[in-house]
Amino acid sequence: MIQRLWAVLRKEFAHILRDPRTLLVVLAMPLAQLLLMANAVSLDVHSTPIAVVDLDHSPASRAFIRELSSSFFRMTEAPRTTVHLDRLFRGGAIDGIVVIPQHFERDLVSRPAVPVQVLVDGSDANTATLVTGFVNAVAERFSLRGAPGSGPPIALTTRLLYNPEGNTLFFIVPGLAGLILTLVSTLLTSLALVREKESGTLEQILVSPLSPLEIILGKVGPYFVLALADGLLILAAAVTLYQLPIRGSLPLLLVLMLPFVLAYLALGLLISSGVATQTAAVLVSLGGTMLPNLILSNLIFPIASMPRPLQLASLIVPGRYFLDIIRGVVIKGVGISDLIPQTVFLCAFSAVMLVISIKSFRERLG
Amino acid sequence: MTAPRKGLLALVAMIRKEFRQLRRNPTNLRFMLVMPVVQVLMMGFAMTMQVRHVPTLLVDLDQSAVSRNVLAEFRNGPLFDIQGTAYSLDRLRSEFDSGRVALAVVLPDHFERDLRRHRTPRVQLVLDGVNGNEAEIAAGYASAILAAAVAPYGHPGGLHRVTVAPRAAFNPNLHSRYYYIPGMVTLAVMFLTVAMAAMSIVRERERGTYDQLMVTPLPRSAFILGKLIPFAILALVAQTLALTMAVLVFQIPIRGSLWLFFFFTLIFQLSSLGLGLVMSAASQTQQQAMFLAWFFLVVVMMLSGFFAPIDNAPRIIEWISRADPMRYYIAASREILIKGSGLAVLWPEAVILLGFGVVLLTAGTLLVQKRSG
Repeated sequence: MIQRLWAVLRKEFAHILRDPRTLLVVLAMPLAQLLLMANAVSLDVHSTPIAVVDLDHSPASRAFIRELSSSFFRMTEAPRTTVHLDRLFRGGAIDGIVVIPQHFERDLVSRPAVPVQVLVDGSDANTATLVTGFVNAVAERFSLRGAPGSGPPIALTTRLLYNPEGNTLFFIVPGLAGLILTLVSTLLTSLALVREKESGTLEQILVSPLSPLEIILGKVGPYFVLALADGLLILAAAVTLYQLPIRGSLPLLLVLMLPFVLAYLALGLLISSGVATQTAAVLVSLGGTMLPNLILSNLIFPIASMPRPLQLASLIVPGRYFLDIIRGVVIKGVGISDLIPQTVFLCAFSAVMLVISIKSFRERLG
Repeated sequence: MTAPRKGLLALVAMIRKEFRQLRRNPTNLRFMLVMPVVQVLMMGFAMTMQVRHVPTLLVDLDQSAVSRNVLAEFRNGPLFDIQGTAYSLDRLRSEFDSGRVALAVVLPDHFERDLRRHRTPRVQLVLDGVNGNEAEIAAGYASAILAAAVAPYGHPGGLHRVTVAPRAAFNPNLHSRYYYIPGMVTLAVMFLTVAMAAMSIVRERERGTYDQLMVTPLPRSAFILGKLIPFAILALVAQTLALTMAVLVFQIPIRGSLWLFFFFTLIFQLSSLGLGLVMSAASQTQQQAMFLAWFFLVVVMMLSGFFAPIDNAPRIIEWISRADPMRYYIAASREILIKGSGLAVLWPEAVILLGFGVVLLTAGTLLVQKRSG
């Protein structure tokens, strides 16, 4: 058994090594993707350009502007005319306009609440949400500081655990690592088996004395190694390029990566036994893994804000649990005791997937 | 028969063969048409940055009537999901470590007494900072609730609040789908024309049917066009389906001209099909073609401003993105569908897309011909 398995493994490795172009693609592209994605998906509000129109020109309004600029935003020079302002805004040169009303200072003393207007470009709703959310945070901070002469009722301090600077790369980079790993794992196996099917060589292997289990393990094994190598490469890149701190235990992360990668390799196997052509394999793999892992995994969009059916659907997306794990270990520095539900799910999921895929492989081809 | 007429007949025959092949594989066909619709549905519902239901722990170290009242304010509305109330700081860190809570509101000892004597009690907001943006926004909401709740205890006329009155142009309710769906319906075109076209040509090569086609009197250009046109048509159909879904389910306003939108799809397809040709010329196996296509799709998608406005990206990335045809296509789609802009505004995009199309399609055709020649 071991000997025969070894033979299949060697054959598959030889296949991979004989095709250096694919090998290069599989190892180099995830890195390139990480680089581009992390920079292109910029969620960083610190560089968001906003303009302030100060209609009051008082010490209070200037203090408010100072608070705004020292906190989050890149302030652009306030345009002189409304027409100019409108052009900048429509052209996308600024993402938001904050208007401090006339008598801002006077009203702060005489009225309980003074509205500051924020104008955002709603066609980019996410930036708009971020900008209004952040201006709101600044306004609240400013309010709680209180007007001169009358102390504020409470002093509020805000502490960001794990990431005091609010560095958005800490959030996005581990997530991307998980996403890329998913895609590589699924595509690799689904294509490898379907290729043999399409070219008719699978029948030849099936009539050999190899058992289906040996074929599958031999097929999946090399890609398992390859996917893990990818995982390591991505992590190394994240640490060197983005100064991602690995606060928890790296061995723990690698161990927890195993069931995750295995789950997707098994999914790839299942896809490959169900479809006849490589085109179909690609379609199903991308549709079945890319989309859920992009959207239902907390990668960028908070699951908690989604409608209930999508929240429920997200419960069976392995990426969701893996992102908990990778963010937990890398950024929070937590150990296995805080990640037990996630680990249990991933192990169970990969076991079930493996059993189903081996079964369906046997039924269809055995 | 004249030569051009013969060429045209050959082309029609080739297109019919391709469509027959597509039809013979209904799973593929269904997937190609249904996937964009599913994507539009999922993304329309899911892709929002709004912060809601933040899992929150209330920490009441004072246990007074006032502290209870202040904390009770957090239970109203959809912003915070209260996970419980703690009376000490012992387990605070571990609640964050396990991810059970993302925000803790800590009211100190003697909160009520200090508040009544105007001694400014120190209230703390502790947040899970892994997602920094979400944390800042949640902190803003929490401070607003706190400020309102403690206002009655301030000096007479003491607390002067600055409130924010947001106004969003073009999209008053800040639906993020207005941003994503125009991108989403363009992505379907991109995927079908680049990946599927590339793989379909390489498949003929992998199976050896390519050589058979080459020895028939079929002109090369008819072969290439015959391969590309079915996918271009398919992409248009898929896009129309997805767009219909977006209008029906999400009431996406189509403020501009639909004809103009489809015109942009057509000129964008020149570039994407050209890209597909280049990839098919560069690969020997479908696996290679797939990985190439996948890589370029992701890069092209990321640089196009699909997820986040590319203007916010670092300057060098912004420069690279100017070589991404999809960037202009997505920008035009958003302008047309959401803002209702016309060709008077969008002619630069149209010219650039046509330029890209001519260059990529020519390059792709030459490369494929060179390979087979």
